[in-house]
Amino acid sequence: MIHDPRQSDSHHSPQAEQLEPERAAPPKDVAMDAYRFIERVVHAAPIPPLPTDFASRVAQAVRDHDERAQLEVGCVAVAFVLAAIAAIVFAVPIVIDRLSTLTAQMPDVPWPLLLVSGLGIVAVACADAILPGRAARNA
Amino acid sequence: MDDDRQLVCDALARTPGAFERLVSRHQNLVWHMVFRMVRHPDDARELCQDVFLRVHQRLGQFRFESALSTWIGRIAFSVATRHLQKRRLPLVDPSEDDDDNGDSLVNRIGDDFDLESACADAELMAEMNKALDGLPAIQRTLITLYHLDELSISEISAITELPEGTVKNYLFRARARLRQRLEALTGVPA
Repeated sequence: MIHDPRQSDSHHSPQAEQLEPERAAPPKDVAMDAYRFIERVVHAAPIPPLPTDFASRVAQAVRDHDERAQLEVGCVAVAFVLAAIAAIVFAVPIVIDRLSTLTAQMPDVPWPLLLVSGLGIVAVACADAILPGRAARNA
Repeated sequence: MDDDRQLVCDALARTPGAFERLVSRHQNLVWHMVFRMVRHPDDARELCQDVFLRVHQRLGQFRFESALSTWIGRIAFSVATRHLQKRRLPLVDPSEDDDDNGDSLVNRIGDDFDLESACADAELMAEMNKALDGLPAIQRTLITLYHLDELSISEISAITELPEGTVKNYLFRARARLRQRLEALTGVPA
C-alpha cells in the first residue's frame, strides 16, 4: 500500500466518519438472527402442562396393574385346580370301569401300576407349569 | 449413569416412591415428544401413561448400554409413532425431496430482519407457532427435542433410531420451512 501524504489525516474525512459506526458495530448475521428467532419460537410454543400429580398417578396405575396381574394368575391357578378336581371326580368311575374290563380281558398286564405312573407324570408336568421357580431350575 | 443405576435398582426392588421419582425425572422429555407428535392433549396424556407402563414392564431388561433418558425416549418415540401409524397420519412429508430449498431460503431473508422486533411481535410469534404446528410430525418433534429439550444430535439419533445425517437433514428442513414462513409473514422481499 503506497502512503499518500495527502491522506495522512484520513480518519477525519467525511467518508471515514461515515464508515466509523459500521466498523464499530459487529456485522449483522441475518442467518444467525433467523436461527435464534426460530429457537425462540420453539421455546415459546405453547405446550399444555402435564397434571402436577402425573407421576403419582402413573405410579398408582402401575401398582393397580401389578395387583390385577397377580389376581389373574391366582384366578387361573384356582380354575386349573378346580378343573383337575372335577376331571378326577368324573373320570374315576369311568376309569375304574375300563380298568376292570381291561383287567378281565388282559389279566397279566399291571394296569394299576401303569395308571399310577401315568398320573404321576401328568402331576409333575402340571407342577412344572404352575411353579415358575421349578421351571427356571429345570431350564 | 450412577444416578440412573441407583434409580433403576430402587424401582426394580419396588422401593416406595422410586418409580414415581423415575417418572418425575423423565416426564417432561416424554411429554414434549409425545405431544409434539400427536398434538392432541388427551391422547398425549394417555400415551404418556402408556409409555411409563411399558417402562415399568421392561425395566428389568434395561442393560445401561445407553442413558436411561435415551431408553425411555426411545419407548416414547415408538409409542407415539405407532399411534400415528394406526391413525394413518403421516410422519414425514413425502413431497420434500428437494435438498436445495433450505440454502436458497436462508439467502432470501433480507438484511432488515430485526430479531428483537420479531420476538416482540405477538402476532408474528402466534403465526410462527402455527407454522411449527404445521410441520410434519417427525420434523416438529426433532426441532423440539433439539431446541427445547436441548438434546444433542447423537442423543436424538439414539432415541429415534434415525441416522445422525437424517436427523440433521430433518432439522435443516424444519428450520428452512419455518424461515420460509417467516419470510412470507414479514414481507421481506426475495
